[in-house]
Amino acid sequence: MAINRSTVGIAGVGAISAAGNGAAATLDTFRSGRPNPASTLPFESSIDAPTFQVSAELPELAGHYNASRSLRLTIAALTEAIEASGLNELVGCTERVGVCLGTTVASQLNNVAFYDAYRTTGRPPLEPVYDYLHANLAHAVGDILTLHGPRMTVVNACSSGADAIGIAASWIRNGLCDLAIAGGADELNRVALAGFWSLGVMSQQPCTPFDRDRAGLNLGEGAGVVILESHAHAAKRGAKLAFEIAGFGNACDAHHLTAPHPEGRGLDAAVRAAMKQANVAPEQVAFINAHGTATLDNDRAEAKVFDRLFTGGVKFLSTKGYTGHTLGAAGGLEAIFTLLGLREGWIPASVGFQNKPDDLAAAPISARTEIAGEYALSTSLAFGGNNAAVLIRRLA
Amino acid sequence: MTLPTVSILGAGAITPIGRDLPKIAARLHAKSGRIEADDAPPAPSTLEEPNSNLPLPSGERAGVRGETSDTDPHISPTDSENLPPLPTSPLREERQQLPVDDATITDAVLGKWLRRADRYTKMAVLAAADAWEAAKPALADVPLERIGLIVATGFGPHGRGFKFLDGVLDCGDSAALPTDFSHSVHGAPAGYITEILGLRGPSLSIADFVCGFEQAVQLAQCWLAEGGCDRVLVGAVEELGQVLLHCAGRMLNYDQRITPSEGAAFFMLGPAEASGAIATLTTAEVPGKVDLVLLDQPVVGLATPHLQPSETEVHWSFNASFGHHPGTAAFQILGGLLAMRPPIAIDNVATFRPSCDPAAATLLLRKITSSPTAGV
Repeated sequence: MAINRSTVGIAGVGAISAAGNGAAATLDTFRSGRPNPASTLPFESSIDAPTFQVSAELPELAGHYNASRSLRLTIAALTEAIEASGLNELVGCTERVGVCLGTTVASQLNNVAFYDAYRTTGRPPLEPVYDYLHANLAHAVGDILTLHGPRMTVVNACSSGADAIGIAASWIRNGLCDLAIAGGADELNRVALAGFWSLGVMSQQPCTPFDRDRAGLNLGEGAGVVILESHAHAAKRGAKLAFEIAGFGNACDAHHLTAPHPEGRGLDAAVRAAMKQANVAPEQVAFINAHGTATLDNDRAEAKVFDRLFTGGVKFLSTKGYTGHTLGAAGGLEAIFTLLGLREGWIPASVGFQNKPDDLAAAPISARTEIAGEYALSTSLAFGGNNAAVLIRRLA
Repeated sequence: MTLPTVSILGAGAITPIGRDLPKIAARLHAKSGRIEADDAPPAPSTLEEPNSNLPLPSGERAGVRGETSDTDPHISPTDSENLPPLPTSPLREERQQLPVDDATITDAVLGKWLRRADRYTKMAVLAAADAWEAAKPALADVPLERIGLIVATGFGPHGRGFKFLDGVLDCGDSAALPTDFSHSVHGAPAGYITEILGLRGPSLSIADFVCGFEQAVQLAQCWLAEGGCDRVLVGAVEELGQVLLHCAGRMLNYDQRITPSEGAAFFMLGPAEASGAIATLTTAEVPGKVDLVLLDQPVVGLATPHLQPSETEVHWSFNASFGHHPGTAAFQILGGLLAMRPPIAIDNVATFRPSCDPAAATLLLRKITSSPTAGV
């Protein structure tokens, strides 16, 4: 069967993370090259590790149960994306508008206090359960905006946000909707912190992706939301879209529950699929916003794939040094950072990288770098061997 | 917008009434899917009986009523007053449930792969492996890179998640077990399934309390229509656990005929024209004539005029055999598929979930008349 190469436009983006509340503030942080990890946790824990926290005040969502922080982060990013898109009439509109969002924390009843009460009293308060039952990210956003159209919450671990963008683009190509809200969100959470600590993949220092002395990841929080739009719909409203999802690939390692394939088998396939969908050659890719978690295995596998597929070399960076690993939000945020790089004509230093290790086949940029070109990639790797690649194109 | 119809090439399931599909079919047909223990309370549904006159109010709100202290704090008294009074039940917190028997989720061949897995992941893996095996003749020429996977769930592996929390509470944040954490994420079954079956196409896990399976089928239709995959293994999995059962006992009402259950059901999907197909499946808004409408009893009201009933149409439910959970639609489709075998031998089945997006609210299953249903 022939691959459908029709593209889907990007009408607006919104990003909130420790790097900034909004695209402008994020770019200021990228320009400065100075991330700001927090040394204290927003909850009680015996774990001592830096995290990347959102300091901005988040929207209150009155009447929507006790809205999770992940949902409030989503709404903050979505508000920026709607404003940037010029689609202010989106709220309550009668058109079919899809909502596809990725998350990890918001999909689980990870409430230590609730479970502690269950264990000790046998009759915990149920309010956290009601809140959880109304916290499905896609449904909550769709309900808040009273949208009609397909909804899906992706729980593909750390590639969730990227996968959500690929799915929403597929919905539009298949005529299920003309507009879609897509991306991901996740909040800092004590259980996730304990989990990644238990796996031995967390650093007690600010993370240093792709560096010789990299010692693991830092957790972060945030949301990255894009509004996708069919070109036909954009033309109908007289909007000139500046970016599009040119290609998307998702492929599985079939290797291990938590470790990537050592040769990056699935990532290789995902990147190839994204470029094939767009009919783009490796030399047309201006840069890659890598997953770059700063774990030994992830960075090694990614560098191998970049070296193998982009034989002439390719500029790449990790933005995890500015945001930490935002889990389900990462794919959404980093697709937006990729778009911003294409728009601005420069990408920030891969903060934390200083020395190329012997075990890496390629090295990221170490300083702010000018870039030119139409296309750029964002890659995501995840538990379960999931890999996703989003190829973004600058149209104007 | 109607997506292209896809075909079912094979099915596999772990259910409260077993794993072997011919035996499950026989039990459904013999109306022996009820809980059989002599001391069990009467099944709370009208299982295996025509379901055309249920007296319960329609709507999602039905699932959140209860005693004053345990009601949803966000539902106003006015809302509650509008609902008819419920009879009390001594079984409120001793909810009947339909668990999968432990013996059903043991497997001599796959056991070595699953030694660290919990029952949630085991159920998903075994059902997916059975669907794979059933569809094997139709997979012979399909590269593993061209086979996708979509796993739908509502609550995910909450049993393992709470086990990890036990570790956090008992041993401290820095001393909980890593295997409990890695198996507590929703994507754990997908990781196992792709590794064991060697699938290297797109792999996706989705979470939805209402219609995850319908969403998964709809996305599989997109993937197949676009040519991104040649086959997609689609399924739903849910597990019972003491914590959520406790919550359900306080939040739901036994008399609303909800029987919490668990299980996994997977289907290998391909293009409509794929050889070896046993039935076609599609999401639809206006499906046309059907012989059998499968409904979830908690969302009654039977508002299905869009289904254009044929003269022989029957409203039915397999809920008392398979129980209720967010992936119920997958089990209704399984039951429908099995009902296509003799002696019932119906041709057209629809499931209807009114709270879904309309485009995916109805799943339409149609028998391929030339098929011997060998892949079931």
